Amino acid sequence: MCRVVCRALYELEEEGKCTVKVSSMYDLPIERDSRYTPAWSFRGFGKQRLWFVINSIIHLFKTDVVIISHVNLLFIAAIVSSFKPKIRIYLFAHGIEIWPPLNSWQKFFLRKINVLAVSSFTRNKIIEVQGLNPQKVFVLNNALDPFYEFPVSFKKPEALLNRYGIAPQQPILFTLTRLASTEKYKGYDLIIEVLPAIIKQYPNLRYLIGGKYDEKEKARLDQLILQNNLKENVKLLGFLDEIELTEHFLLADTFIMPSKKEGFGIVFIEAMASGLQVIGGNQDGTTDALDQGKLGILINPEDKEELKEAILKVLEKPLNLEERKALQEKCIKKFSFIAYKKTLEELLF
Amino acid sequence: MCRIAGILNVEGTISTQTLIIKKMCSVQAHGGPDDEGIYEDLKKGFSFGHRRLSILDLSAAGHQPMCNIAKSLWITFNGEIYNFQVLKKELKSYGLVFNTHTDTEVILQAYRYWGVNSFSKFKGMFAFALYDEGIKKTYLVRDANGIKPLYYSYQNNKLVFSSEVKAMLCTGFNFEVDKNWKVYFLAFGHIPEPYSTLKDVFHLEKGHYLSYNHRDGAISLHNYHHYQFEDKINNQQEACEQINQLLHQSVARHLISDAPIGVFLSGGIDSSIITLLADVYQKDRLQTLSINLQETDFAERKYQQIVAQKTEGQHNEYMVTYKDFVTHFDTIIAAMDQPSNDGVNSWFVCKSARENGLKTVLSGLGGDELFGGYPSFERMKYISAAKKLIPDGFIKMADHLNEMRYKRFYYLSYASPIGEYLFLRGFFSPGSIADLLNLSVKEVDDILQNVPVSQELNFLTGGNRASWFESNLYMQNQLLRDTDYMSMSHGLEVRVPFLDQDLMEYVYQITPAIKFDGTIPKNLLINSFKNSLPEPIWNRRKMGFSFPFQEWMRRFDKISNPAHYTNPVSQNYMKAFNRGDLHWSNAFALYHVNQEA
Repeated sequence: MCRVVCRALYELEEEGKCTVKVSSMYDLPIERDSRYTPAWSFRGFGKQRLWFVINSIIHLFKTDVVIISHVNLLFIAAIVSSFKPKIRIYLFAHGIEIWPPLNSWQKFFLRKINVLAVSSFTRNKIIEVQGLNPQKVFVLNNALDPFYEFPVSFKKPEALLNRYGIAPQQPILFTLTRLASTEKYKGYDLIIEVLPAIIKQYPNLRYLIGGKYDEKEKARLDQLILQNNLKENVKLLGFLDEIELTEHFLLADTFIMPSKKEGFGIVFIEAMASGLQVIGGNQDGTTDALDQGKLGILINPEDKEELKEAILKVLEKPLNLEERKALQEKCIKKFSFIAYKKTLEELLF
Repeated sequence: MCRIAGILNVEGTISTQTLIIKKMCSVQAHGGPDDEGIYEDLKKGFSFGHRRLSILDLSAAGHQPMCNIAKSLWITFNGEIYNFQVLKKELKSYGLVFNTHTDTEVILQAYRYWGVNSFSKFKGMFAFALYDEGIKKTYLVRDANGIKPLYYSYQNNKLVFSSEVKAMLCTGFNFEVDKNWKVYFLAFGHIPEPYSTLKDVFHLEKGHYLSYNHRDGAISLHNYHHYQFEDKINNQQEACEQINQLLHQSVARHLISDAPIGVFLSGGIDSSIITLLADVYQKDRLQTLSINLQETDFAERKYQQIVAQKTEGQHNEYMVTYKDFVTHFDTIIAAMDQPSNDGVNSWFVCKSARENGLKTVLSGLGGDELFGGYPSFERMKYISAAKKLIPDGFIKMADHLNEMRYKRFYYLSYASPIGEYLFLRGFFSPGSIADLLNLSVKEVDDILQNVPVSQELNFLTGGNRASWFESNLYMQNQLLRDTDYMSMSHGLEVRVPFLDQDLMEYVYQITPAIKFDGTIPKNLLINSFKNSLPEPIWNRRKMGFSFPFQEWMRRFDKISNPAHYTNPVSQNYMKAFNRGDLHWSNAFALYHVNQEA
């Protein structure tokens, strides 16, 4: 999401509204994607944390407005603000990094600055847990990438059907997420558990799970798939290059991710921007991405039965062409990059 | 504009070669999608083939190979003669008769009247073979700038020729691979003339013609045109006026076409000038074409818009993304008749031109070489000084340094001037090449120092010396070749108004002191168009129409994954590339060499 903000700021700079400098603690200069930030605006420190901190502090003295991407970097702004009280500070609040209670000085400092929450879910949570001033916490929903490839035709891409050995009429469920053994809240386990029942009605159904996996998680999932006798039906795709994202959304009939800890769930709006209907969990920021259920189906991510019924419902009556187009348009209207840039501009200037 | 092929034998010695000629034409069909023609007279000892891309006189009258009415002359021709109407008028005044509106016929009639002296009268880009029954000779002729290609191989009194090396492989001759090609390629980024990837297949030198005698199969090479640097013009005002006028004339001539024609606009000085001039003649028929990228470091759109808004015609923009690069990569590589470290950009430009319905486009190619647009023009004097003052032994130690740009200093130890060029534009140093190909450094040095360069270099210094290198090596072997492969792969003709003979001959007479006055690059050219060229176009950082290959190639597993490379030395280089310690052009060169391994 950071790169979307960078691109928005770059475009505002091109319009003459500001000058922008981007500083990254972890990225190396060669890792910069120049579509979002030009070379002259960017500084990458490649994990040289101390230099990053020192450099940032020095530059912040010459800065009017600073946007901080993660609460762990808050201390830098706190240091500068004690010498330069006029500096305007914005912190991005995503999800799990800021839901648990923070320590006292962080809470104290947070109350003085502006917070940009990526969802109203996150906003409500942090006002409650961190005791923030509601007037200083704004919702700035995540948006579609400025270079997102919007499909015009919703036909299933033949190249992918061939690659995965799937016939055009076979229904396909799709989840796209990082498969990390340390993150157990994405919900694909639950989907695997309800699949045997669904396959009774749709024996040639395919469930594709895309996303980079670590070996431990892959082994665990392989085992789970085997136990449920789903070797034919479930496939782990591994890492998907960004350039194939739209094609994969077009391949699928439904995108499902009954997660419990999304700050927002960008992948949902990416799926909908390709006209793909979605099922998500109702206990986290997904509610914002699905616009409180107006754009997709929200279910209790802990309720197997509810999940099963939702999947059967979409398989029984998939969206037709007009409905897919309409979904795409609604999603773009609400979450377009242009709208995001405008909101950001109004907040900052 | 087309592709040609042919086989020349001693008269009466061959029975059939129709199939071979046909194959040579089919394999080049992409460059001539509109028509195919073959003419053979095996008794006389020649077979000509032709693939046509119709630009002038789109009718069947333009079919080739073409002959005169008496059928005593036959020609297969690739290119454009821009002054054909002027020549036609003169020849008509001498009583010669014409049946078509083509420039091809003008060549035949001009030869009829002036013989081999006609070749120096043609102003344009061309490669042709002309059979003369009267003297039983065939001439292979290539234009003064070498814009059009003409490869040939001469073995056992038999000669084959073609526009592309790939056609040679259809001849049935047993061609061996030139074992030096990888050395050339890793040093230059291309195969320098006269060599090719095939042993015994050579590129006919520009401004030369080859004469083949069908009586005994003997050949001879002749130079019919040569550009000479002189010190005659030293009035800046006069020079600017003349340059303005000559480039106007050149653009006007280059716009003659019966098929849709456009201009490629990158946003740089040269293409902007061509666009503004073309606008004068085309007005609302003008079609300009620009490529845009999402990458901010490469954004030239605002400059393109500044120029486009000053014109009356239609401006077309095309976006090229990383996805396009990946999707078309294999096709682009296949389009390279000879390995090239560049040319990807040209492929996309030509593709977009074709998709826009254009059959020919004007390009700003050549402006930098003539007017000093590259850093080499400034660096030349330091190079000469370094060569004189620093002992060779010391210079050679540079190859032990780690960074490529420092290792290249080694090349300054070469006695041959080719070393200066390789210092400026080379990719791998001899030590690196030796490592990669398992050769000794001496072997690499010998191969590279044997690449022929003109004796004229003994007398050239400073800006003119740089101009020679950039025109005769870089533009000749890299830019013009890339433009040819890529345009032909889409069936598109690219024209280069800066390489107009009249303009070039004039510019070559301008004293270096005003041509390269040391203020800003191309100052003389800019001043020649002071009134029409908007300031933001010349008062900006030169970008040279490049693509974000450092990012794209690093991201593209096919190129950047060390596991794809069998050679452990290459693997290490690719690891360095992934760390950001190697330029993309070096990585791309390794990719090419690895493919052929």
